[in-house]
Amino acid sequence: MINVEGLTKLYPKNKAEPDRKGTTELRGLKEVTFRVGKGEVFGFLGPNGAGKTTMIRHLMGFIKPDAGFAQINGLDCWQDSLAVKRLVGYLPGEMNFLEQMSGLEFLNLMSGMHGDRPIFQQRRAVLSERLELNLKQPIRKMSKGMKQKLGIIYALMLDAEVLILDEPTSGLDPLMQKVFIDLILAEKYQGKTIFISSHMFPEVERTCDRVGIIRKGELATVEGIQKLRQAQYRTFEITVEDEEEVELLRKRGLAIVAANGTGLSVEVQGDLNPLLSGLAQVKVKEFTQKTTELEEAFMHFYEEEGRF
Amino acid sequence: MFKQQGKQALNYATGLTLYNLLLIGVYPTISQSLVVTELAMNLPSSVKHVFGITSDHGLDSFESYVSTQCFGRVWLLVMGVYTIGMSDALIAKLVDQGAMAYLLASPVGRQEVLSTQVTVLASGLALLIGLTILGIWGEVALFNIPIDVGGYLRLGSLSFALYLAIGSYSIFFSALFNEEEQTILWASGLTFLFYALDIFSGLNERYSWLKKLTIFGWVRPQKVLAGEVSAVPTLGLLGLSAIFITLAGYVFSKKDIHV
Repeated sequence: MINVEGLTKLYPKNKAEPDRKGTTELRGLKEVTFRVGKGEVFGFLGPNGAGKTTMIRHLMGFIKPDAGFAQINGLDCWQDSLAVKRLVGYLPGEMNFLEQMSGLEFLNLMSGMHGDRPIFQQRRAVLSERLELNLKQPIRKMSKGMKQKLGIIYALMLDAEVLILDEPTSGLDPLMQKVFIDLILAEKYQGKTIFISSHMFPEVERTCDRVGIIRKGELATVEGIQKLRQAQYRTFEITVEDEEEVELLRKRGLAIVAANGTGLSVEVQGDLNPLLSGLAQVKVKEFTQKTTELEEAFMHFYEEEGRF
Repeated sequence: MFKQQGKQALNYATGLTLYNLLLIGVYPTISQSLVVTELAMNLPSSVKHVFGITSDHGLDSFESYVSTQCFGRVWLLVMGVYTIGMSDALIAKLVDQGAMAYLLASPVGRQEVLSTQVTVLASGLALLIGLTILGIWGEVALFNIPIDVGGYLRLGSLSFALYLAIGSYSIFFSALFNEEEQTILWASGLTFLFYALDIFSGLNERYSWLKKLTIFGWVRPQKVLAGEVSAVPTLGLLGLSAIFITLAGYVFSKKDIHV
């Protein structure tokens, strides 16, 4: 459904931020190639500034590639952008609406511009109830989370065959993130093709079939979610009763990367069970999972594959 | 095709209600300037001279008075600010802030988006100029001053053409830069240059040829009100507008828009 081949877009270095870390590289995308099949949910993961939004701008036909092409349903995203947009529901990464309108006016305008089908109204009603958003409120009085909800309603109400979502859960509380994931899974069940960009693995973990990881404008890898889940390193901060127990855990072969008295951090790749059965032997006082940056979480994966 | 039209009409309607808010925001400033006019009208002529209320024809007719006052500096300034601000808000601001993403994500072409925005601008200008002229007619009726009604219509359409021309190059800059600062800088810079040239050309006979270089020079309110037919400058300004709007459409549909 989505077909990107050798897509390259280079920007001259940003004058506003001269030579970050002394890099002489150009910003942009370098020969990005991937395919997303019909009915598939594809996650596009990368740290901030890696080129996720640039990729999406290409898919939406906002910018013209220097080389290569992006196609949706066989239509070129730049040349046939109008035809492409008839297929696509889009959630921008930045929630900036026409501030003077209310949510309802905004959705009316968008319905009008998308050809006003009766289904828009029905879906809008269902979605606003699920996401608990009062549409009559003026947009400028909405919080970030509310704007995000409005954006999600807009993207999903169109009942488009292809959904392109740029960091869809940012600003949503955990409860709403759950609702959002259910909504996405429902769309997936209906056979929609979904492209989600994100810098957080958990966001895509529960919805995506495959994930592409982008780094400094280059697509590092495209993998099935299972494989990535196994490859993902997680770090747990654990505090136990006394130092003997630390020794006990060490003997069980857990990868203890740092120990400070009774506090230790343990790195786990994939299967959690060895850690859990180890912890069953000792008295645990604290147990937290350290949030890891995407880069960090997958660095081991890259290293193993010998890509970097 | 009809569906397409209806869609457009909906855009226009929603867009207009939206921008009407902006208009209402600007209107008090204009009506205030009319209040000032009323006040000045009752002043003795020596005082008027002190306040610079003079024209080539002196103050012997209401027409020359109106042309200097109602269509004089304050009005020019407010209209100029409105036109440039609006042109910026319609394209560059939306791109800058990111709201343009929603408009462009719909299966409505960029050209269509641009022409919708131009229509919004043009109707805004027509409304403002219409209100100004209606206001003058109202006041004239109030004070029982006989005037040539048609002259004001001609002046209205000439002013409309003038501001449409200013608006069209502002829209062009707006589409070209997609950035608020640059747009305002270029649009107001060029407008100020035209205005300065116009003032300068009036200072000395030797420089009167400069009038031909500035769009403000094409507009002479006193002469129009005194009965001069203004078809040529009106058409000229409209032609200029058409050129810039076409250019803006071309630029806007071809360029990368980072939203």
